[in-house]
Amino acid sequence: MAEKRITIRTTRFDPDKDKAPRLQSYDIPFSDESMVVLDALNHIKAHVDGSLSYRWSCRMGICGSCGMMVNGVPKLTCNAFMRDYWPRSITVEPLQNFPIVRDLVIDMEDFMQKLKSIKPWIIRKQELPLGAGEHRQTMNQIDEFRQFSECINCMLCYAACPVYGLNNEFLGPAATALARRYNLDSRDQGLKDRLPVLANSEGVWECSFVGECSVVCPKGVDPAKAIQQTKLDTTTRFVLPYGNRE
Amino acid sequence: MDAGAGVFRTREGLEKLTRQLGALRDRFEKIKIEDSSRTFNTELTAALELDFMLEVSETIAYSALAREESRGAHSRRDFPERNDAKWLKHTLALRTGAEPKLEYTDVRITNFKPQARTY
Repeated sequence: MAEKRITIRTTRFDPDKDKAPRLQSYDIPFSDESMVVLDALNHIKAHVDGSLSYRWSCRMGICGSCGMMVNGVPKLTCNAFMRDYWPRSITVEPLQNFPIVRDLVIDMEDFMQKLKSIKPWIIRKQELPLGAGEHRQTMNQIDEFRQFSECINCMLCYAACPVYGLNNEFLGPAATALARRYNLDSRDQGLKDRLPVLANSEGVWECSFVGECSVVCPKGVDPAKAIQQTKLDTTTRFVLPYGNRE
Repeated sequence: MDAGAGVFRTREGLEKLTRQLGALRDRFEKIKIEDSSRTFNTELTAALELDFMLEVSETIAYSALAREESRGAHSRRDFPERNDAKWLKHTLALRTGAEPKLEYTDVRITNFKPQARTY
């Protein structure tokens, strides 16, 4: 039986040499039904073209490094099985809505800033003295926020969000899910400290509940749910006016 | 490295490992990098890290080969006992351009004396 082959088209862009990104095709063997798109990229880099640059690490869907557009859909390339595309070609492009750095690598700085902006740490009105011991928490209390703590910061939700695509100032799904993770944590007393960012003109109210963020999330975090629930938090507290849109 | 310098080690296994590492080192000296970009050049970082990994592997292999006793995680099938009289010392592996040169320094013992692990 002839060896199966498949065409991979990937974005190439070297800011020192190229004016604009372009697509380059590679024809590679598809030898194993368990192969994922990341395997294809590694094959290209090892055997065909060592200059292809992309991020990856755990290759098992837990680190969040290998997020890219696969045939137009944000996916973890370690989680995109080639058998689901073959015999059609697979087009791999950098994650949408982020500035391109090189080939399939994008600039994550805005995302990192958004995560920091919602104060992702336990905030207490008053810290417990050391002698008081640790904050006690039941399994039921942990279950309240567990889902929102599963986020691996892969940024697929930002690639999928059309609002973020039109407006880079929007806080976005993962940052809001992270905020909700702390707002729901029984040890935390910081909801009021987070509301100025959550409730301002670029916060949760920019969300029009498209829901694509939750569709593409590889870990079932459901950031869309986090955003809609946070909208309730902003109304029941009358801390801030909503702010005007331009 | 798993086979030659894994949990249980032997002189034969470690000697074979040093030969394999030598062959890898020879191959490494001839590699070429296709990627000439100054931006996010992962081929370059991989080559640099391979150099470091080879160097660390060489220090492990040669030090383990020389240490003819068992101590802690270093378990020699051919020398199963701990030998404080001869081997209560730290190994220093010095870069020479060929195989590492081994030297030794004294161990400073404060709270914990060497003793048999009997758990």
